[in-house]
Amino acid sequence: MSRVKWSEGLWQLIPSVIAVIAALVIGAIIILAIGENPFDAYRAMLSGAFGDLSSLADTLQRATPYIFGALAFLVAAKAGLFNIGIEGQMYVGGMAAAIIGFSVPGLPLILHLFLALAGAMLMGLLWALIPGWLKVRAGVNEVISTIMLNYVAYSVTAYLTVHVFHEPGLIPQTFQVAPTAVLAPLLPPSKLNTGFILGLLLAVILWVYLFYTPGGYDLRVTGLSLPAARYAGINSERVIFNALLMSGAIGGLMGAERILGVYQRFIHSFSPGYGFTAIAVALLGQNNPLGIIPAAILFGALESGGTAMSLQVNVPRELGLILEALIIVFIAAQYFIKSRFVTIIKRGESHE
Amino acid sequence: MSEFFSASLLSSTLTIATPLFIGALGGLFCERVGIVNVGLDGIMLAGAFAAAIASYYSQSAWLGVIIALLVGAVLGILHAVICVGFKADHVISGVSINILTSSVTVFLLQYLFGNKGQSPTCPKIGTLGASFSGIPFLGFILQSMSYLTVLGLVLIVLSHIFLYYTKTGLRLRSIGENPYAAQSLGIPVVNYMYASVIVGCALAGLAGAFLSIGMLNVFTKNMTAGRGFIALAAMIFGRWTPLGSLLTSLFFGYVLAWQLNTQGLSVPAQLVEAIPYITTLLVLAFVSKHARGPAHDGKIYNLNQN
Repeated sequence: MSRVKWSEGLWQLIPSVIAVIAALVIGAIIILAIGENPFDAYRAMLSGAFGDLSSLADTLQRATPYIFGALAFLVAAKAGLFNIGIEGQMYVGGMAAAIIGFSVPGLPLILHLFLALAGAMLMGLLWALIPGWLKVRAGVNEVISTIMLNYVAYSVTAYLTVHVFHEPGLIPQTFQVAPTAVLAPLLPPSKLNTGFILGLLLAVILWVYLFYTPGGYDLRVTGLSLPAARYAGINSERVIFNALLMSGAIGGLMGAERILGVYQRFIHSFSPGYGFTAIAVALLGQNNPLGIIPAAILFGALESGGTAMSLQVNVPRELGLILEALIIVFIAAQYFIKSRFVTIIKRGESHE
Repeated sequence: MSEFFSASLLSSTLTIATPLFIGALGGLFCERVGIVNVGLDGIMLAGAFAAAIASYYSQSAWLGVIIALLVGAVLGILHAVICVGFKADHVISGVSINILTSSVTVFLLQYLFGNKGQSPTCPKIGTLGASFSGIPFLGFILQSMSYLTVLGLVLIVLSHIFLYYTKTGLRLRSIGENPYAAQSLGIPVVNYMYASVIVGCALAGLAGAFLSIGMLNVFTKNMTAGRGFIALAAMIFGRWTPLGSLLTSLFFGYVLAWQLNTQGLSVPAQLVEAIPYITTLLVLAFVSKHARGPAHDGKIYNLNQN
């Protein structure tokens, strides 16, 4: 019996590994199809992602928003919610961080930074309050409401950027944040900043919260089975509501990291879809706060390595993004793979 | 008054609404058999790309339309295999399709034309043209109406008849409500699911084709700009019916067309852009308790369970 449990636990990693390998194989076929050598391309990608300190810094920098975004997705997912609105929560959080960052100069460093981060979290939380309230009060599916709110966030931040806080010039961007509100760089000239450390810390905190506290237990039970949670006396409506707020706050923090650490001002439509790709990262990390870290670094590596690869081999750098997408396609089939393996193990067990 | 009801405003309303109601129809065929399709936007993007590329290489816009339908159908097979065959989460599958198509289209643009931003210009689908221009008021709308818009309107009517006045349509709807009951009546549930999802996704491909070779004559990077999600909202807002989807799409189209006309006014465009989304949220907040979709929508159909 104990053997079944142990091997089942190990098999949980298998779908992620299979997904990555399968994506790399299909990627190799694509590279062959455009007439290049897949080994050369992958070698260039690998050294471009981890080859030296500056490329490693670039990889980790690109991984940072995915750590935050995946944690945001995960907290909601553990309570049975599908928060596809991280993108919007990130935009409003980033905007709040920028406004606090440039509008109150002269504050002490730690206080100013803390205020900007807290403002971003609060704004993300408030943005998630709307779908949470719609879900609990009116039964509106959070998938639809959060998608709609992404566009509202996009429009509102565009308005603020272009009409209210616009720094004169051709690029739609706001004023620069004060140096006291900047997340300090870790390895200049790369854009890697202390936000990365913050993301790692947050992952550990969430891991402890989810698996070692009563609140985390309530949240997970609610996600696994609503009737069971109600039967156990858990106020599941409140748990769901709070999980979504937590998710939104982390989404806001994700925006703050980009704005305070990387761009140091709010740039209109700065995100290439971080909030959506983060969902893939959460799934690849098997919805585990610690599993998310290697998954995010892998995605960061595909992007930074993709750029390096396109300079050395004649393969467009979007190959990295295609690999990301293929990984999630294969992850989407993970339930199938997982259940097959568990069936095979159990069958083997019963033969003994 | 004429400002809110001019022929040019109504004409652009129809143009903006076309990809929305065709896309909504595509989503509807998926959801009526219980498969949620968040990947609508990505499938539309793939359809737009395929249509432009096929039209460019063959110099025939109609071939572009056919290729867009085929590419949509192929993505439909993928979505159906993941959701029905692998019994995976529908939303996850949809998100993966969105990420896949947005990266593949940019990759191919770069590979084929060395330009990440857009494709070369290509032949586009024609409009009904001057033969209708004699009719007062309507004539202006008709002559600038794309053949694809006409096709879309025909498809809406045909789908309505199919879903509500044929035996196959009734069976299809019953699957979305309760696949287990349908199965016990001897309906081949899985076949219906595959067929309906594939048809729905092919329609989404068609909706995309309208963007690249109906409205314009070029494919540009991420040109759907979230229209797939608006189509999804139009479908929900239209209570999972073809005619309802058409009406709500026309409503969204009207608001967006009106926004284009108000650029002279002092209302900032960015805020007007948010109106359809805020409207959808408000409407959902008030009608959601009554507007229920198919009962089994989004749930995983597992034969072994029953």
